[in-house]
Amino acid sequence: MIIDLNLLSDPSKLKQYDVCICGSGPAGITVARTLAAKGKSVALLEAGSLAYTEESQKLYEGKSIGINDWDAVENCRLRFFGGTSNHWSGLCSFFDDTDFESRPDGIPGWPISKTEAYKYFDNAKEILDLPKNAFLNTPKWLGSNFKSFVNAKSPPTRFNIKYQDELKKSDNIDLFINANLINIQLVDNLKTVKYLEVRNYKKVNFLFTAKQFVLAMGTIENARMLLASNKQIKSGIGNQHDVVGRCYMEHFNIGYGRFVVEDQKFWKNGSINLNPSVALIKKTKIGNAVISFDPSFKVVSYGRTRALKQAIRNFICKSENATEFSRKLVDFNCEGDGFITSMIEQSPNRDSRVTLDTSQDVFGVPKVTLNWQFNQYDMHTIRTIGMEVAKEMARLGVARVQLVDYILDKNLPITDIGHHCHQMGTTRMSADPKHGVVNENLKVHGNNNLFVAGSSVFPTGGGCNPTFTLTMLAIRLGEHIAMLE
Amino acid sequence: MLPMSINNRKRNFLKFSVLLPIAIVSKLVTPKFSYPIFTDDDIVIINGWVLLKSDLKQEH
Repeated sequence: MIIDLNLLSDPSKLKQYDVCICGSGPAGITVARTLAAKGKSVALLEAGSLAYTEESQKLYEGKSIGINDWDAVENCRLRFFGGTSNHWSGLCSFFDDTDFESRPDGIPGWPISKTEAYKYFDNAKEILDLPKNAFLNTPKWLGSNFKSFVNAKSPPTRFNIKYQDELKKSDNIDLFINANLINIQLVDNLKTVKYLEVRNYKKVNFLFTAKQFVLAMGTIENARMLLASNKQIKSGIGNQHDVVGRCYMEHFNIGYGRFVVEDQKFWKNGSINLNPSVALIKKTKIGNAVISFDPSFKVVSYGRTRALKQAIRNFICKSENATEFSRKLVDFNCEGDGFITSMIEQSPNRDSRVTLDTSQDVFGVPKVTLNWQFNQYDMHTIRTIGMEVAKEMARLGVARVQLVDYILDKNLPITDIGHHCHQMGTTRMSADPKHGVVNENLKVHGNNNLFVAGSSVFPTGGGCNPTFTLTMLAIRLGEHIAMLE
Repeated sequence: MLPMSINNRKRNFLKFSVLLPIAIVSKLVTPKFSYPIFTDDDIVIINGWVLLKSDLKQEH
């Protein structure tokens, strides 16, 4: 059933649920569906509506003060039913074994094995509409220091479209829209959640009670609400060791430079995507990554004078010296040239974090400040991978790579740092409460009935897109909660 | 309607008569190729291009 909280006037009429889940993105919907299939009653709370509204999206406003003050706080996330699945690209991949291991500075890796994390591999494939042969037909890479990036493409699945009817008809799931979480109330020596304080846009408060509670609002929002629920515990919930909001991670998108195709036949299928091999990761102590080579076989000029421009371009491209000279003056491409893009793992870094701002939203909840930071390990990973992939191409004789100066010279700052809207960390999973917010079952340390779902629990970011893994972890969490009394 | 406004004429004059010559001259006075960086393996880097040492010998 779908219930619009804006249309409810009597807060006392809410029933008690087995589980109350905050957030209806891929993680929240997957946990809810898993629990419903086991006969559990679920309240699924969505802060926005069934479609995008400015009123809801505006509540994501916050500050970004870190590197490259990009608009991660407001533009990467979508605040309506289906969450960020409403604009994801659909690329699915999975972590390597090395991604589960500990990272520099004594920060532990995953407290669960890859086998355990990927227990629901086939179920996640079905949820994300991946074909049965997904991940199986990856071509073998001939080099020694890299390997082919194994990936599959979801249509992409829009959870809003795919699951709206199912939830409307569900006997076990009540989807509440326009339901904004504003506080988590504790009892029992502050170790158990008693209710979630939720407000509609008419500013009427509702108290949602349940046996178990799940936060599935995304990496920034999960941390924000744990920190902002500070009426009873000043530092926030699960933050006894000052870990909530820390180790915010993204995947770096570094511009490495360009390449010239040397073996046309080798590139006949277009782009090539590579991961560093396990041996290279171990030998050079780097993080994981995906490096993409995109050749452009047809360079076309545009505009009213395109014929003239194309003729000049073709003439210049015939001479290597003329091409080199032109490239010094303008951004100039010839046929066969290509660009190198990347998705680089960020090492968990306590200084990269989400904190509460002094300003508040319309409900009185503190806004967030995002301070995205990288460290010397990230610089090492970025430069080593660029250098090694260029060497690999030279040794194979398939492309000649020209690296940008900040990859070759360690003294230069890396100026071209982008992101992929892969927000991770902030409530990381760890067996040790000093290094994580949730335990191996995704339960908040020091709490009896509060869980977290989504990529905010990832202890490391690996060299892969996060949605497939977070979907598997959400199924695992649903199965775990269903077994609890 | 004129095909090109006065402002565009001024802009193009500035671009081709002033900025372009400055850009060309400044690029010409900077060295075209940097010195090669020899790594401890089979690789040499010239002007950012990552090449095999053996290829370099063949070219010269």
